[in-house]
Amino acid sequence: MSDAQLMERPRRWDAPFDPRMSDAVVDELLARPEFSSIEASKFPAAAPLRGILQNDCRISLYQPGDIIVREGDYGNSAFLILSGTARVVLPPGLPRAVLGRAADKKRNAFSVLRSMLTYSKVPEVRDTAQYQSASARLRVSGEAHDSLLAATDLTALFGPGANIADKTRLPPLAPKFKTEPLEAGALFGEVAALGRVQRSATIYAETFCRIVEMRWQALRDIKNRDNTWRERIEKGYRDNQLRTHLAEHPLLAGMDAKVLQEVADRTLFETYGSFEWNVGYKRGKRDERLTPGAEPLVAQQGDYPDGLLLVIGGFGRVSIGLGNGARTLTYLREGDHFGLDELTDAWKSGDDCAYESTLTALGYLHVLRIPYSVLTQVVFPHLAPRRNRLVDAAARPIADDAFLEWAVEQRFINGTQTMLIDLEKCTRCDDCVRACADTHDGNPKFIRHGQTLGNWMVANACMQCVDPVCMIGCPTGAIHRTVEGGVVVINDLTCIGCGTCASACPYDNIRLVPIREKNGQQVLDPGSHEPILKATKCDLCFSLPSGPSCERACAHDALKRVDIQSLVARAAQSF
Amino acid sequence: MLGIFWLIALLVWVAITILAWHSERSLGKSSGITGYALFAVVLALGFFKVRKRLLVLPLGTVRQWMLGHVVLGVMGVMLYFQHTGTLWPGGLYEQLIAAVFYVVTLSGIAGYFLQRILPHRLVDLEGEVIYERIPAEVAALREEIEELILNAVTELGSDTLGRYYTESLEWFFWRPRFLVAHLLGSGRSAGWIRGRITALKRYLNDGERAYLSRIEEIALRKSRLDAHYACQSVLKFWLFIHVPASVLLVLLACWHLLVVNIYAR
Repeated sequence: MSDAQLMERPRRWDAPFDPRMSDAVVDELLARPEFSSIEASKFPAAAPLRGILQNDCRISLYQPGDIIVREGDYGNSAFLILSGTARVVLPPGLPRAVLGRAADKKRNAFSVLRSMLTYSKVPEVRDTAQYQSASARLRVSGEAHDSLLAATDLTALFGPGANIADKTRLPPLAPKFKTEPLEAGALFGEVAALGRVQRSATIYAETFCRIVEMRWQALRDIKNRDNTWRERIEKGYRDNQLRTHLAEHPLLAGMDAKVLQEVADRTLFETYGSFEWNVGYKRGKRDERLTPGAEPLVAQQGDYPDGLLLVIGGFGRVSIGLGNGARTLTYLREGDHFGLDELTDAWKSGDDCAYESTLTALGYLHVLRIPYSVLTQVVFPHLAPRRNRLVDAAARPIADDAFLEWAVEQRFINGTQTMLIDLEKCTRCDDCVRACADTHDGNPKFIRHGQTLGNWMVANACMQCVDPVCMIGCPTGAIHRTVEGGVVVINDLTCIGCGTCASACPYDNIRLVPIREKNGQQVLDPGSHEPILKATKCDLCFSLPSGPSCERACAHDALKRVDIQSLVARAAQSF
Repeated sequence: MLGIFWLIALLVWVAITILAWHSERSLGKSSGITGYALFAVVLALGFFKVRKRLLVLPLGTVRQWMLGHVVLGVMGVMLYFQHTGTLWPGGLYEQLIAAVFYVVTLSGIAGYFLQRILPHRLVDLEGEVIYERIPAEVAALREEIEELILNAVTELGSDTLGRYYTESLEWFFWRPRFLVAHLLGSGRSAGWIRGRITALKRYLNDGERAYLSRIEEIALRKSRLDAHYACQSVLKFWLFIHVPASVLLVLLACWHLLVVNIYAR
C-alpha cells in the first residue's frame, strides 16, 4: 500500500452550508413553531433533524432592497423568513436590467492555455489538501446579495418622489409593478429547489430580514418525514404552478386578473406517474417493458374529454392505435396542451367529440385541467382558428416515425444539449475527446459512444436535461445548477463519491472515477483501503466563453449539441 | 462558407499570378513571388494542426479551418507548379522537397476522400465500437466461442466442432482478418465464414447444428469488428503519413528559403 495516499472518505456534512451555524442558532430554530412541531425521532441517526439544521441550513441577513431570489435564476435552496418582511413581484415581474444578474465566472484563454501546458498526465488528479481546507468550504457557501437600490434608474423602479433614504424600509415599487408581502414564517423558493426548475418570481427584502436558507436536501428530508411540511410544500407547489402557468399560457394571454382568478379557482391540478421516474424507467429499460401500454394513462383515444389539459411539467406521449401497437405522434412538454381540437369541435358542433389520440405520462406528467365550461365562457370565443390538429401528424409515412419513437423511448426528449453525432460524417478521430480533455485538466468528461439509430448517435455526454433527475438524491448538493444558465455541474469539493447521481442518471452519463495525487498515488480510504471516488460528467464547458469544446473541435461538422425538441419539430415540419 | 473560401483563394491566386507575370515582364524572377506565397500557404496549412489544440483562441471554428485547409491545399498545389514549372525538379534537395510535397499532397487527397467514404461504410456495418476497445472485444468473442465449443464437445460427445474450430476458426479469431477486403467493402469475410459453415453442416446432427448457428452468429460479429478495425485504422493512420510529412515539408521549405536567400543574391 506504499504507492497510495490515504484520505478519510468524504461524508455528507464534511462541507456544511455555513460553518458558522452554532448550537445556539440551531436551538433557536428548533424552538420556532415551524420546526418544534417536527418529530425528531422520525429522522435516522445518520441524518438527524438537528444535523440537518446545523449542516444544510444557514442564516442570512438581508438589508431592505436586497434581492433574495431572482426570477429566472436556478436555485438549489428554499427560504423561510424568521423575521422581517419580504415582497414577491407578481408577473410580469421586474425588467431584466433591474435584476442585475451576476454572471458566472468565466475562464480566459490564458488560463485555459496555462492549464493545458501544466496539467498532469496522470488521470483524475486532485489536490486532496483542498478537500480539507476551510476556505474551500467557505467558498462553497459564499454569500453576497444584490440590491434593487443598485438599479441605475431608481425613479422608473420606485416612481417619482420615493423615499429611498429610509434605511429601515424600502419604499413601495412603482404602481406598474405588482407585489405581495411575505411575512415571518413564509416559505418560498421550494418549487425551484425541489423541482429543479427556474425561480418563477423575484423576491426582495422590504425591511431587514433574517432568513433561514435551506439546501434542497434539507427540505427533501424534512418533507419526507413530516406531514405538515409535506402538505405545506405540496400546496405551495400547486398554487404557485397554477398561478404562474395560467398567467403565462398563450391561450389565456391578455385575460384580466379577475377572470384569470376565476379560471384558476376552477382548474384542477393533476399528477400522473412518479416524480422520480428514472428508477422505474431504468428497470423498464432493463426488462424491455417500455411500451406506451405500460405508461400511466392520462387520456384515452375514444373517451370523451371534460377539460383542456395544460402540461406544466414532465413529458407526455401522444399516440394513436395502429395495427396491434401504438404509434407516437408527438410528445408534449411544459407549455403544450392536449384536447383542444376535440373540445373546439364539440363547442362548434354542439355534439360530444371523443379524443382522437391517447395521452400517457412519460415518467411523470403535471397537468392543469381547465373544465370545458370555463373554456366555453372565456377561451373559445377569443380563440383564433387553428391550422393544424395533433392527429395531422399521422399523415406522415410510418418510416419517418423512427427518430421520434427512438427519442421518446430512450427519453432523449429530456435533453437540451444532447451530443448528437452524425456517424456518416464522423471520422472517429476523437478530436472532440481530446478537446474535452484539454479543457478539463486532461480528463475527458464524456465517452464517444452511445445509443445509435441509423447514422445518428447520442453519445454518453450529459444532455443537460430539462428534468435533471441526477440531482434528486445527492446528499450534499454537490450536483447543482449554476445560477446563470442553469447548467448542471458537480462541485468536486463537496462530492462524496456516493454514486447516487450516477445511478439515477437514466442515460449513464455520469461516471465515478478514482482520484489520484499529483504523483500518481491512488487516494484510498484508510479504513477499507478502497479508492476514493468522485462523480464526473460533462459540464458543457460552462466556464469557457466559447462554449462546448467538443463541438468547436469537430472539423467535420459531425458533432452537435442539440435540443432534441428542435430536431423533432424540424422533422415534423419536413413531412 | 466553402464558397467564400474558394472565392477568396481564387482572388488571392489571381493577384499572385498577376504579380508574378508583372515581375517576369519587368525582367525579374517570378519564382520569388510564387515561392514566398507557397511558403505562406504551407505554413498556414501546417498551423491547422496547432489550431485544433488551441480551441480557446477566438480564431473561428475548427470546421472553418478544415474548409480553409482544403481550399489552401488546392491553392498550394497550383502555386507549387507555378513555382517549379515542372513535375519533377532538378537538383537533389529540390527533388527531396518535391517528393515530400507529393507525399503530403497525395496523402491529403487520399485522406479527404477516405473521410468521406469510410464513415458511410462504418454506419452500414451497424453497431458502433470504439477503436481502442476492438482488441478486447475480439478477445471476448474468442473466449465466448471457445467456451461454446467446449460446451458442445462436452454436451454432445462429438469433437467435430472442436476440430473445425482448431482447423479454421481459431485462425480467424486470433486477430483481425480480411482487412483489405473490408476496406474495399467486399463481403469476402462473411463469404469465407458461410463457406466453411456450409461445408461442415453435412457432418453434424441437429444438436451440433444448433451450436453451429450460434458459432456462425459469433463469427459474423467478429467479421463486423474486423471491418470496424480496418476502416478505423485507415481513418486514423493516414494522418501518421500526412502530419509528419507536413512537418518535414515545413522544415525543408525553411531551409530552402534560407539557402535561396543566402546564395541566390
